[in-house]
Amino acid sequence: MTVSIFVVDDESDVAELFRQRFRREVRQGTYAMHFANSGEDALGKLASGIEPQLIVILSDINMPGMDGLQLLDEIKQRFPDLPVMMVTAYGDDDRRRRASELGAFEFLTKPVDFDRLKEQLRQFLPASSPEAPH
Amino acid sequence: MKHLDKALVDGVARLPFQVQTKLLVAFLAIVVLLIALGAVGLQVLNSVSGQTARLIQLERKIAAYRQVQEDTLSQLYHVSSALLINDERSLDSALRQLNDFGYDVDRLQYVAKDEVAVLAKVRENYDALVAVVHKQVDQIHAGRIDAARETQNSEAQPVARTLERLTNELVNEAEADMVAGIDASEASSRTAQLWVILFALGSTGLALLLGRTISRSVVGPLGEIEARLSRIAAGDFDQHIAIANRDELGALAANVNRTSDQLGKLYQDLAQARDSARAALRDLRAAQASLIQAEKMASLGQLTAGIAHEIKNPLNFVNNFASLSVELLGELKETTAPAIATLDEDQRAVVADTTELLTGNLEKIVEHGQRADNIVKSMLEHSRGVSGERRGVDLNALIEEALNLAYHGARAQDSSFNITLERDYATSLAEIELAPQEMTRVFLNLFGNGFYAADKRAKASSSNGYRPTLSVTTRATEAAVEVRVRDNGIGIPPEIKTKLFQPFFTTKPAGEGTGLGLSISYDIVTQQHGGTIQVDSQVGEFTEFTIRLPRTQSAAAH
Repeated sequence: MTVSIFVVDDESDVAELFRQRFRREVRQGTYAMHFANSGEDALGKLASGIEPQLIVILSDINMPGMDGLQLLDEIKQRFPDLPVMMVTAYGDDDRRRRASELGAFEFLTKPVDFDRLKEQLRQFLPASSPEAPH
Repeated sequence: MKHLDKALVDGVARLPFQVQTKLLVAFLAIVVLLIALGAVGLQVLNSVSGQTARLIQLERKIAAYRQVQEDTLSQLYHVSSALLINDERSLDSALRQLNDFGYDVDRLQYVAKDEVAVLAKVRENYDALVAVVHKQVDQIHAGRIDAARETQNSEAQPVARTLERLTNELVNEAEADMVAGIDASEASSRTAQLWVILFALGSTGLALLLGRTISRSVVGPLGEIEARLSRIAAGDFDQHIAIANRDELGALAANVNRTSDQLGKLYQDLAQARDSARAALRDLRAAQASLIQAEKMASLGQLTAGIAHEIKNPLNFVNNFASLSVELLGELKETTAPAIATLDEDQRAVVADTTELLTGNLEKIVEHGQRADNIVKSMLEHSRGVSGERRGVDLNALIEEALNLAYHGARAQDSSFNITLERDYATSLAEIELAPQEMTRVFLNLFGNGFYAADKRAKASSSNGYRPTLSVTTRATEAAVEVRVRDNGIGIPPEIKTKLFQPFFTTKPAGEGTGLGLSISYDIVTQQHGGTIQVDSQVGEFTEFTIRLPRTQSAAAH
């Protein structure tokens, strides 16, 4: 059973990077990748519904317009149980604290350690899902 | 004489009166002397005039005596004339003469009343002469001329002689008196002159002495006070005026002394204030210099962090896509293996060669990308907030731990490396509040640098006498803890000492150092811990870093 991962980042190469990093998992039907290039875009896509089942949102913090923390706030109001991981180049204590207060599940600093990320994502897979290969 | 003079002047100076009073007394004394001189002169004049009066009296006496003598002769003459002419007129004239004679004898009594015995005799003889003359007048009236002549000869003549003799006696006596009087007057006049001269000389001398003594008792001290004031003006406050005066000058000298003391004290205070102001200025300049340095470092740190942020993102992509490409190339090799197998040998070789070069290039991109990423990470340490939590730490233990870590790290990198470690830890170093991880970084950095410098000198010097040494000293002062890290390595040239704490400044070959170690250490010590870090070095001798950490850290700067 395929589940969705939703990545929000204003830099388009981030989508490309995730696509390539998860190419095997996508090919094998473990994950479906969804991308948005702004907070507003992300909220729109969330509103129109993401299929198949969305298990996690990964969002950048520094974005023009609505930033990642505002987006986190919005998402948590609408989907309180949806895990949101913040991904940022600025790993300072202040942002870390605010993200945690707003209910972020995880706080990742760029460059993303994809092996570790994939490991973490496994916990959100439904029990019936086939074991994802490395 | 000189001693006497000095004693006199000192004596006048010591008199507890005002100079005005002293001057007044001196002038009064001179005036009294002048009055006395006048009095003596007057007395001498008096005595001279007394003598003169006496002489005049004697002169009068003598005149009176001579008058009586004349009267006697004149009486004899008148009577003789009457005897010759024998008329009434002559007789009257003789009687008138007798009357005049009587007056002169009477006057004698006033002029020479002290000559009582002789006067009595004169009076007696005069009376006798009167009687004889009356007798002769009677005889002439009676016509008895001869009898009258006879009376003239026998009676009148002897009485007249007696009178003449008596008056002569008186004249002689008075003249003798007069001569004696003149002599006495001359003598007493000489004595008086002598007295007046002596008195005048004495009073002049005394007046001069008084004036000189008083003026010296004033001028001398004034000179001393003036000299002292000049010395005070020249900045000498050590001496006091020592004068005996107990007058205004004494008070003035005491005042000058007191003023001098106070000026001296003020001068001293001023000198002290000046010195401490100078010291403060020096400190201020040093503080200013270190502030400017700190400001420079801080802005450089911010700049560095900004640059690092900007570079980090693209660098992430480079690294990510490079490593992805290595993977993809592997997959491509796998997938295309059967197809490639169908190619001829030359084509296969070209494909394999190209693939290998591509893989190698991508791996180089990844490797250098990692290097750049490490540099960026170090740069970002600058701007990251106080990440290490603070706690009370045994600084000696922390340093010892860092020292061991650095030593074994260096040994692991280069097995030929060796160094003598000297530790001098203060025994009573109370716990100090700091961020242990950050400070460990600082010490690792300093030890690493020290090892590097000592090792470089060891490798450069051919002589066997050189023994690489690194010493660590901790000292506690009241307000701070001081750590000295000293190596006997190659040293730091003065011209690069100021650049030492700048980011990216390194003397190590490319790839060996980032140039961020000391820059980060500087931030940790000064910004996070409010301390100072200083360097002292001598090329070819030593390098010593001194870190001072205040015990009470006002606040971390971030």
